[in-house]
Amino acid sequence: MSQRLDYTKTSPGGVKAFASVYGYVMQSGLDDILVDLVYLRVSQINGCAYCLDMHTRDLIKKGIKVEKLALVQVWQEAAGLFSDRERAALAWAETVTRVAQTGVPDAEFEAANRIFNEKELADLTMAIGLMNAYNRLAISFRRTPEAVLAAEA
Amino acid sequence: MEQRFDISKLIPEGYKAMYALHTYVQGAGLDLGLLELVRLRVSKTNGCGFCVAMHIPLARKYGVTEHQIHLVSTWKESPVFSARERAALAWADAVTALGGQEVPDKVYEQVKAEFTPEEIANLTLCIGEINTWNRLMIASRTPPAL
Repeated sequence: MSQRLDYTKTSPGGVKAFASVYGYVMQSGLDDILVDLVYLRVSQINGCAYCLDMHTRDLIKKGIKVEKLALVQVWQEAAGLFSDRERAALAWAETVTRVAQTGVPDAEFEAANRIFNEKELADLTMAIGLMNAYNRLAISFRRTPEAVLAAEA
Repeated sequence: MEQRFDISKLIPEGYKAMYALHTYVQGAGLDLGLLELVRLRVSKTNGCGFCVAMHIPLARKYGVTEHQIHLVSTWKESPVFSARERAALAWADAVTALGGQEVPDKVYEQVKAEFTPEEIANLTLCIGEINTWNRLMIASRTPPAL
């Protein structure tokens, strides 16, 4: 499973443009742990090794315990570990990521809308949309996870 | 059908950053008709009414034919697409689908036979970008501008 091509080298301008969207989300006012949990869950659904590696590390750096990280994928069955905001954000991330199957139904929107104000919901949706694009870049080109690079060094 | 929230008004800076990405993709050197064809296909796959309504007239503007516009949903069985267009559509389908599936070697070989590495990277940025817009517009239930 070697990397197919390095898009950071062939399209630096595009990567920079994506980074501006990422930068926007970072300073949007959303809690950074909440955003990273969303990034991790979206990357799990899409199956992005590079992104799972990165966001798992980021969450560990921010003090999230391995017990909680291990259960992000099944957060609904481990609800006691996740706050109301985290659960609402993860549910919204799932339905928006699986958009072709779900169409993002009203019930899901109403649930998210009860917890987040309009601006937060817009920012959260931007974060989810962005991670869906990042996942697609890394998966398409088989970008090597940092942990694999370290193991091979 | 009522709009749930208006992203361009609520988070103009985020919207602007997404638009800058769009400007990059438009200027990356790929045929604009091909990009519109890809955006139309991905938007149909994801079910984005706003985006389909937007990209049909743009496709026409950049030279995509009526036959191609009508048949993009069934491109595999339609003889109106060039080898380059078919490779781009196959790539767009694989990159959009995911859900734990990989993007197969066969599809990568097909796109590699028709596009340079830089073109493949930019095409993929375009596919990633439209996947983001589709999610923004469907989640916010932004109505088509008709």
